[in-house]
Amino acid sequence: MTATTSAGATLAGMEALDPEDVELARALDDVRRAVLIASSAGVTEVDGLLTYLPALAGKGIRPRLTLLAAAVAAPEVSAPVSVAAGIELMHLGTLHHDDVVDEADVRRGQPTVAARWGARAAVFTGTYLLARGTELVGEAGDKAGRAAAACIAELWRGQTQELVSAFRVDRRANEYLRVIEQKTGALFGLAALVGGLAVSTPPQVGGLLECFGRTYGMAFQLADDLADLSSSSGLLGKPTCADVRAGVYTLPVISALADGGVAGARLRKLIGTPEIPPGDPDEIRELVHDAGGVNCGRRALRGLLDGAHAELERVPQTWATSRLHLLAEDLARVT
Amino acid sequence: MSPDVVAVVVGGGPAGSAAAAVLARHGRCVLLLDRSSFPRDKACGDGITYASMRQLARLGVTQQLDTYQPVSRTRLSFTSGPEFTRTNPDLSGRVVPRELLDALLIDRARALGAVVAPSHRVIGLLQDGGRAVGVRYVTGTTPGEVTGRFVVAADGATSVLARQAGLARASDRTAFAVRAYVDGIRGLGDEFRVVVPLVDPESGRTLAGYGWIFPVSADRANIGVGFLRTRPEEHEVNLRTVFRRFIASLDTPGTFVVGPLRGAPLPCDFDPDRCTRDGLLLVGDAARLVDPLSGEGIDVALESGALAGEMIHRALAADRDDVPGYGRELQRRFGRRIAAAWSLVENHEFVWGVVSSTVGVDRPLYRGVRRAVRTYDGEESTVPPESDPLGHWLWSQQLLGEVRATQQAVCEEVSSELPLLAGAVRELRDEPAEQVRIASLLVCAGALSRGPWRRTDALRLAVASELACLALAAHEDVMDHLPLGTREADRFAVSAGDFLLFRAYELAAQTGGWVVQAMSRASADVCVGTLLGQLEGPTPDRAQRLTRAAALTTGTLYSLPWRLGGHLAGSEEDAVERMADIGRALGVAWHSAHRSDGATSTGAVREDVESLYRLLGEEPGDRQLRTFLGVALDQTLTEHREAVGRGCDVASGPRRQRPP
Repeated sequence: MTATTSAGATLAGMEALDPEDVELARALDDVRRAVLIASSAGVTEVDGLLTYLPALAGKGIRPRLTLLAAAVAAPEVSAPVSVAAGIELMHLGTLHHDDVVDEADVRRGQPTVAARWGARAAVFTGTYLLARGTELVGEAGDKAGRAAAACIAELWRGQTQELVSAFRVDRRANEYLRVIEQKTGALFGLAALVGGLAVSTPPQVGGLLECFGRTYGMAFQLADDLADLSSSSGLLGKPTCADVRAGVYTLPVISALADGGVAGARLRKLIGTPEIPPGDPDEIRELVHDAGGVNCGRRALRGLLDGAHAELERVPQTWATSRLHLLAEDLARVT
Repeated sequence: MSPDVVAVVVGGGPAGSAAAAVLARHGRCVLLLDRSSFPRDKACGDGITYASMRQLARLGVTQQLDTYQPVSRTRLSFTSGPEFTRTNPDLSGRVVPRELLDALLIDRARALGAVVAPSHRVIGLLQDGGRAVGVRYVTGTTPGEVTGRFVVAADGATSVLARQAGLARASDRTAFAVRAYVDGIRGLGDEFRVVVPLVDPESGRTLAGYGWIFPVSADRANIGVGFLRTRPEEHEVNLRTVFRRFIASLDTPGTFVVGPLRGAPLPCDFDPDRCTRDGLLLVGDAARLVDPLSGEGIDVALESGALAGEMIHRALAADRDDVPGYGRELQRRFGRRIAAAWSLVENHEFVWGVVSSTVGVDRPLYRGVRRAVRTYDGEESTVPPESDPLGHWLWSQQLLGEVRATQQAVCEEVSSELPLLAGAVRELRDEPAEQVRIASLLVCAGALSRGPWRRTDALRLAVASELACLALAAHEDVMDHLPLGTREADRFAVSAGDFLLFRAYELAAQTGGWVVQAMSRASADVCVGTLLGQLEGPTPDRAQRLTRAAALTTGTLYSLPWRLGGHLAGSEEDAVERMADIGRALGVAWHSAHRSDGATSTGAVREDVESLYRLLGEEPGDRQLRTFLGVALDQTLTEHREAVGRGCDVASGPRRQRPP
């Protein structure tokens, strides 16, 4: 767990510890407990399976976003723990499906559910957690229930677009951006929106929070994709160049492919079809770097983060708003 | 040339001949010009499909084809080994070299009274105030003109007339194919043989196309390759190289190619808004009417030609100068098929991955995948059952139409976003169970309604809960223990199920957040039940565990429509819970009825369902529910008898399709 977030880093460093930070850490603990309780179905034979991934500690970025969004909108109202737990459960649910689709054997340092119990069990566990999460998010009201349904649709559209465009070297930057908005941005947007809805924030502030969540989510994904191609990786516990090998061409690769120089030409020869051996990961990484792909990705990340900060300027300025700024800026540090 | 020619048809391929033949048969004075003299060779696979045979029968030319090589099936071979055969017992295709087919068709048009002018090369469109009034041509070195009230452009992929009328446009949506005749091939059956994948030997890329071997006679075949460029980097692919590699891969020593390797463009960018303009109608290749997946253009050419002829005849009869709705009619007839084909072609890497990694898997989802590829052209249709007890009762209650409309709506929901899904869902469906659940929701919502009956919501939620059922069914076909690198099958199953689930949620949300919550609770229960039912290893309480699992799976899926119906009717909370219990019990009974392993007797099923009556009161709404339950019981017992009669264990899934 190297990528700690602002509040976590503050706690670890025992620096200026605001009472709000302590409150937030406590609420996040409550969220973790709520997630565990909701993920158990009370059926002994299968509860071990259902709570397996929820019991492994994750970063909890999405529920943090929900709690901070609620605190931006209504600092005095108690934290919407159950709704934040719903967001985390939805996320955990999609991870199960992702692990089947990506053939991933390890997550959070442990064998995945798919690796331990089989793909079918992983899928039903994922759907279970997604459904439980959706139900809890729906507690924030009719609008939240509808937004959750729309979010699930977007997640699918993003995932599927990525799936059917695997190994396609004619993918464009704007297609990539749309995909990451759908597959990652949508749930971050929902996390922030329902945080606001849970404390009855006015629609306008809710909309701004959702926009921030979305942009931040896109930045989060792009940072993740950059890490896959940067030599300083290992951060996300994935082998490097995993995306390229799986035929998923992210923004750095897309812009490197468009490069007119030697590196771009060599890269175009190396990738583009599952039939061709993907080559040495180090070479691909270097080519993407030399063809300007990584720099281009970093510029785009900076642009997204600037956008996220700008969106925060338009919501009430509270302690939580400052924490959201820090949370976003944390991503710039990662790459 | 006669001055009272009413239609000038340019081009003597199948489309032009069909148009001329239809007009001539109506007694219209029609002139057909072609730059060649017939017979003449034309690059083509020469495969006359069943669909083409039907069109030819309408023109009255099937008898003359009797002497040509008949074909009774299509064999799809994977270069990796597996093969599928699709047999058409009632229909027979043919292989007829185009040199002969086109000559036969033009003779037919002539016999019906069309005036045929071979060796007339059309060089331009005559227009008067923007209206097409005839064409200019050259025969030998002599130029000439001919006028008519309508002009039919059947002049092929490079149509001069379409260009001059401003209907053509630059497009890269054109496939290319090459073929040759090959002698000395042994073991040619009476079949169209299609080989996939087609690989470019130079780049290693899998192309959106296929190789074919069609038997012209016992030892001569028309062999070719064709593909559609879907990716920019494919512009470097050399079709001749692909062909040579394909021939070599067939490993048939002693064969030799007769005649030249010939190629043709296959224009696939049909656009209903660019098929007609002021007296000019485009048909066949000129209308860009080639199926982008199969490359098939003959049946479409014949049908569009005949349609153009028919519509011109009707316009003349009504003394009109235009053919309103020609483009729209083409779209109605071919639009869906072409769109389905495009979806498969555009995503061909994905489609290919799914199909090839599931060739040997006999699960509903993957049978459906194969069906989707096989029948994207929409040849198959199912007839819903009418004679069963439920169908009859629904009909008497005037609900049958709504139940069927709902079933239709379920199919339409899945037709758009994910390639292969529409076909796959056909195999996942269990229509009798579907009818019971849909009827449950409609009856509950209507019978118990205290206010106006919320028909629109009820129909929408019936679709939503059926989609949720299908989602879980699709996920059941996720497979464990697939070797690495061949997991496209799982990818597809996960994606298909997730799509169905989110569409269910989206529809639910249109009625309200409460439906999303009810749906979430139900799918969570079904998941727990499925996991419980799939635990491995014999446990002492296995039977009891499976019973609990059935209550959570089938029970919940049947319970949801009762719950939603009760809510829509505005019932009190405890009444809704009672309804949900009835639905669950009905589901459990249905599940028991599908066990034909001797575990359940007919009497036990009857007892299960009859216990439900005790849950009902004496309210008028309850009385209608009582009748409905009686009918559902009858239906359940019918299913039970059928299951026992088949003697196979269908307990693993009550949603399984009945064999045809």
